[in-house]
Amino acid sequence: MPYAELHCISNFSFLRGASHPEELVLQAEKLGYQALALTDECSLAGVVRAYSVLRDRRLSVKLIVGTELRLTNGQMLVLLAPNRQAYAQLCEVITRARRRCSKGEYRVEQADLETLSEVLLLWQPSLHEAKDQEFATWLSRYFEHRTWLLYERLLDQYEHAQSQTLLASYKAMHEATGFPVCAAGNVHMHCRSRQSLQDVLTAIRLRCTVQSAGFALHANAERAMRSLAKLKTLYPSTWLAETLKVAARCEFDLGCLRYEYPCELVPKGLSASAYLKQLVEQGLSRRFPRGAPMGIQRTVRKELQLIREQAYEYFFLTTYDIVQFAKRQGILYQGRGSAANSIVCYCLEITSVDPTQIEVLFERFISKERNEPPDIDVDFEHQRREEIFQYIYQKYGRDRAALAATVITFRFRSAFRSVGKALGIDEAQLEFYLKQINRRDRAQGWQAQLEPLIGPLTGVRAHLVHLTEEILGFPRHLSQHVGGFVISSGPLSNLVPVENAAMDERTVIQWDKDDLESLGLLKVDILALGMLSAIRRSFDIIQQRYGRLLSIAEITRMGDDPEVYRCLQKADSVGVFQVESRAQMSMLPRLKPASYYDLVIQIAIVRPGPIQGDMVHPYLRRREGLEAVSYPSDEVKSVLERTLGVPIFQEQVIKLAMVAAGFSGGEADQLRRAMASWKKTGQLQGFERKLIDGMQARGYEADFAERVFQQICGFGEYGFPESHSASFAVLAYVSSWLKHYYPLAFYCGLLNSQPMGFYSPSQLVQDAQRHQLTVLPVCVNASEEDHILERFASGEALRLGLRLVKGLSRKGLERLLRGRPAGGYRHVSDIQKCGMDKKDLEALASANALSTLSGNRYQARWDMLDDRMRIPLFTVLNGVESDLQLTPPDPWHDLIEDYSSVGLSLQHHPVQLLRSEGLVGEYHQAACLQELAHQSWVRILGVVTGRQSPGSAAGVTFMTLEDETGNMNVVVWQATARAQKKAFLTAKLLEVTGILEREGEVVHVIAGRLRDMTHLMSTLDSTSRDFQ
Amino acid sequence: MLWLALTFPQLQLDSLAAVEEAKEGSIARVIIDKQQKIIQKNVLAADSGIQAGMKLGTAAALADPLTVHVYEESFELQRLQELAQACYEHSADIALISSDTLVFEVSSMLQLYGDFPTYWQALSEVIASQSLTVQGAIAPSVLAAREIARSTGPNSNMTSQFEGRDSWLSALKRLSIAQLDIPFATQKQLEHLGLKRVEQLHELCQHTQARKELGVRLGRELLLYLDRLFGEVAYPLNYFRPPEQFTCSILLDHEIQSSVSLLFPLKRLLQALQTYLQSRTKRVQKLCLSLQQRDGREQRVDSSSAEPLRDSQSWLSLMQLRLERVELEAPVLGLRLEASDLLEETQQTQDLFEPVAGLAPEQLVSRLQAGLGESSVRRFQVQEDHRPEYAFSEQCALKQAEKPNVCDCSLSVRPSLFLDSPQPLLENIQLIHGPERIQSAWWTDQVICRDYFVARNLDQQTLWVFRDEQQQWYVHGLFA
Repeated sequence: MPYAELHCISNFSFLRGASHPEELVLQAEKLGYQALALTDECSLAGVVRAYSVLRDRRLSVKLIVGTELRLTNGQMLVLLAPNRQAYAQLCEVITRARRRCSKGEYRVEQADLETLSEVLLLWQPSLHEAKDQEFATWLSRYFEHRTWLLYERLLDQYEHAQSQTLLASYKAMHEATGFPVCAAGNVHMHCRSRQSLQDVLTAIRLRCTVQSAGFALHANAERAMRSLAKLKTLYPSTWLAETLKVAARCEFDLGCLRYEYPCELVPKGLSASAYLKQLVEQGLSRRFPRGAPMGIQRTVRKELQLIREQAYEYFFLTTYDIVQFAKRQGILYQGRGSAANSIVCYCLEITSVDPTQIEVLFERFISKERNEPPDIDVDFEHQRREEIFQYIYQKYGRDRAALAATVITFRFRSAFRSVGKALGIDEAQLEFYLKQINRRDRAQGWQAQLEPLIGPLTGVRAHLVHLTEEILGFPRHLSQHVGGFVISSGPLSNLVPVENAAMDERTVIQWDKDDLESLGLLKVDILALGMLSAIRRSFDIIQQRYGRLLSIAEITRMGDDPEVYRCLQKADSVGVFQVESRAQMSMLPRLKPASYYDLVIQIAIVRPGPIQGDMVHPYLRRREGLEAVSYPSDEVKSVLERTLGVPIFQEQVIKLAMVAAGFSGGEADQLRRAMASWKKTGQLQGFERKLIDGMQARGYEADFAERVFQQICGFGEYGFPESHSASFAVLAYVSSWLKHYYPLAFYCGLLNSQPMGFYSPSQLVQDAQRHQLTVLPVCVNASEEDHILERFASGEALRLGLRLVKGLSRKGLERLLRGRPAGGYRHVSDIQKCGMDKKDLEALASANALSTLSGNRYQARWDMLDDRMRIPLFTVLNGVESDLQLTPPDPWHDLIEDYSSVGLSLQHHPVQLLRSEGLVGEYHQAACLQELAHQSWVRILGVVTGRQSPGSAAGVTFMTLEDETGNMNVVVWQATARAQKKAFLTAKLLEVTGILEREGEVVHVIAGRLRDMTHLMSTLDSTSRDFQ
Repeated sequence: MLWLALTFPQLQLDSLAAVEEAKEGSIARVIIDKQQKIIQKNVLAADSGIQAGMKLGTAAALADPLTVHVYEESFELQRLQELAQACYEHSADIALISSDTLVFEVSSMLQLYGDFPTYWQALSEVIASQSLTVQGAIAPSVLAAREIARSTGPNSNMTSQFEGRDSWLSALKRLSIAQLDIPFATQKQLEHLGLKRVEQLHELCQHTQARKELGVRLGRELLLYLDRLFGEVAYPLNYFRPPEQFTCSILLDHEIQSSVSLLFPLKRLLQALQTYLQSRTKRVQKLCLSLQQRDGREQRVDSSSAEPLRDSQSWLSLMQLRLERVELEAPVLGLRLEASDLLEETQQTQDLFEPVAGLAPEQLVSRLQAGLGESSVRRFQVQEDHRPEYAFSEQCALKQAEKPNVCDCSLSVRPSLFLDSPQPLLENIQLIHGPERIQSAWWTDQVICRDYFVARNLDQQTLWVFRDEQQQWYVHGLFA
């Protein structure tokens, strides 16, 4: 007896369905169902996943798109889409139901359904006679010949009590209305063994435990997919047969969805293709004023042809339009991604990387074989990206533009916590377990780590472990993608349902980027990048103060500047884009970048890919001439020549798979896709044999082949293609150039763009001071909101802005600046009279911004705590002014308050204070470590500013200590860390005794003994001078 | 007046440890607050480097294994009450002034004990018997004594403290402001003015103008607190009073051999109780009768009623039922009736039965219980559980229903007579309705997976039967 399941929800009916859409499709195929309707509650969020597995595995079961809805009048319906038009109606009704409610909820009125002229409707009567009769009448009016009665047997007590009459009442209703009866399973899970998970999901949804959930849990596992044999015993055969009739009417296939691009981008009378060609030609002559080389022209023709064949013109035109807007608004931007590897993008000013400088790997530009969309990410200044968003919304309207969704799933912690709570385990206990589990420990899974904590994994503990495993990866809700916009010519809600995001005035579609990619739909990635903000601000300052107009293109046009590279080679790169991290800093003196392309490599080499493939040292050795550069074959030479025969970039590895292991272009692209989703699916292993065998068959050494594969796995964790590196290297160079030539403007721009980057304002300011720059404190009379440059003594200085003051409200800040007299404030009460509230004043006093008025923080606070000062009358009578003089804070307390109120201190460093108070002995200072010999014994003292345990360096923790002269890098091996756990984990001030290791300019201290010196800070506190 | 403050900084931890360490030996143990920060820790935990104020995660990384408890203020208050009770025999004026501190008025006790060491001896024995960490201080101001006590080390020498009592002010002045019991916000404000130690505040308060300005800026509450701290103003105290209880004894002029004969003297005691209760508008729910035997031993007969009672007649009929079931161990020479837990007069809710002929339902239940034994009178409570065995439960008849029974029984097919445990089906039946599948409770030991049917046997009885996973058939009930 063949059967089609017409009512089935997946885990995209959040916290209801207990199986992934993929699992449901595969199970339906296995059970021999003819069709499966995925009918998540008011959602199509899971349907593309079901469609993808069906298509990729060429399954025979047919997928029907539908949705389950509970109307406001209590009736339960399943709607199915028989054709494209019905599909659009379905999207429309879901959109309407979702858009009128806050995130996660929906509301459908009966009247909302009246326009659904094509949709098929399955109705589960409420068995409330009067209501049903009324509803049936309405259905006959609007859904004649498109309505079925939904009969579902779940063998529960409700049905048991009713069943004698149930069958009869369906028959009677059929007689009365003429609606045929159709069987269905109300599927919640693909197999019975998911019942426990389904119960747990219910408990999580209702915020209770399985023990207390009572009848909210289902009585049995009958909501699993059932075998045909079983269905046959449960339902009358005619009602089973009816399912096939419904299924037969559903011909809609998700694969037929096409994106209709906004047409207003093309001037009247021109085709999109011709317009694009025209723009590219204009760009070509602008980019290559002396005429483009032949090779470039050839590539442009090839690219344009590919774009035409794939009909991607609008995609490029949309991106072009957006960056043109940014250009007009003076918002700095830069494109990257596979499509950025194109001369077309260079000509359209989407990217500024000169294509003659880097090889263009065409396979990644547009993959024809797999019918996949091109990928362009555009980074904008992070604080101005919202302007781009608003432009898009305003240009295309909210019904035509929306963000892609990001599916938020259960990760280990949330899974463990939620399951544990649902099983009735004490929250404090769960937190305790979680704290004990080190997710970085790869040798020991969390299950193994849990066992010694909670004892043998039996009973509840076994449930906890296996349900946590099962729920991992289950979707919890839809959030907005960081910047992936979908823009269409007509209402988006004809294509995919749109719902509200948590953020006000934001809407997201119900599909994520993988869904869009599966269906071949394009999105434009509008991303935010802090460094672009910082660079633009520095440019503005330079123009204002020195009258020099700079741009990224202007700086790169000047060519590689040895002065700039000299700084980079010294690892003087705090604040420089991409090469400021500790790992990059220790690579800079080794790699010694001296040209733009070196910088491209520098950025790409300190990544999991090259590190796991053990490609870093071979490259450095070859670069230093310690190892001969050789190529196994000419093809390999063509791929690896520019990186001295060592694969560094993702593109190289893919191309290597083609030339050295015999992968076809399409296979190579599959490899790339597998790399991208490796974490999720683990599909990479399938390529291992093929790659290694292929390379060995072509005469490559097994060891090299194995390393290339390891590198591929590393890229899987964090893919880093040459095109991204090339775009980043431009910004790295520009920021380094600014730091060298306009340091004040550079630090000022960087500090005004916080939070961003690797370092805190405190670290940046210390770095500036170490570069002999003057930094002046926040002051109510001198500071603006932002940090500014100020004339100081014979030169210039950086004046910290009020934006640093923690707790100062926007309103207070504005009042302070607006009310500031030309000659500045004279007394605290002058500021009070501006209408500043107590909190704002307190914030200013804490920041020591009132020191020009009151002398010190304590006195400032004492003065302003007096409310009477707010009343004009009192201030006239000078008598109330307090003549009580409080003792000023000592340096230590000044330091503490500096840190807590502005996050940095210009005068003091804790280590320096300890030294000057004579509280510590002799230590090597950061500044002098450079002069010490390799293998010297050292003893250092510093504030712990960083503890990093990178995944690529097993068992090692890198600590950064800071004293008043600079930063010190400490390497702590696992054994050392374990033996001195307390000092290692908790010390804020740490003494390290160890051996200095030097490799060229790179200096580390290998920790031997760790001593927690944090107590010294409190000593300093209590030695503070007494109240006089 | 002179005050002795005793602070118990880890009252909860010490009390727990006393119980739990006996069974599991020494283990690192901490108490955490709602923010999951450590507030109390034992020696082992401290040795591993755990400090107060640390986050739980850090602590867990430092000590493995680590036992964690959540702080409960009510628990500590209860413990303090118990301590006060225990000390009450030795000291008259005791007051609880916070969840960690008891204060004792010393000067009046000195007259009684003669000297401080003798007095302290008596108190310290009580405290030592509870193995609690204690910190003490003596000062003429209650608050000063407490704040100094909180900041001194544990188990300090109280006698020398007493001798140095005149230097209390300098001890107080040495404290930091963080050690005072003032709101965190005020503390921060003071700190922000560079006022960090009590000495600074004391000095400010010496100058009328400065004191006034302090009040203007930081509020009158702070001034009040400081006045109390420095002993300028007395701190209002609620002294500890042991809970009220009724006790009345009677000695018999002859030995009574049968329990029934006790009723007559008992009646007099109950009348005394009634008078006592009336004068206080109280009732009691529980009485304790001690039967005194010749050799000084006692036999105890406890009796309780379903609702709080006052009336001697009602108690008498309850006690009568109770005594009828008691066998005297030895002849009785005297009676003592005790009632603690005096309850307020309140309106009682009646939810079991409608009142029947002058007898309140609770009274009926009480009588039934007194006659049949407390555990024989039960009530039903419907449970939300798919498993039939657990779909309802019995509970003590007098307990209030936890929640009203809202289950709509018409929605399910359930038999009128439900068998406690399913019986194997041994006869031929005909299935007439079903199945209802129940498969649930995987998280318990009582997982079930059954198909239930309504069936008829040859005697035309309608049975509720099921088939389990092993295809075995059982009868689980009969329909009327």
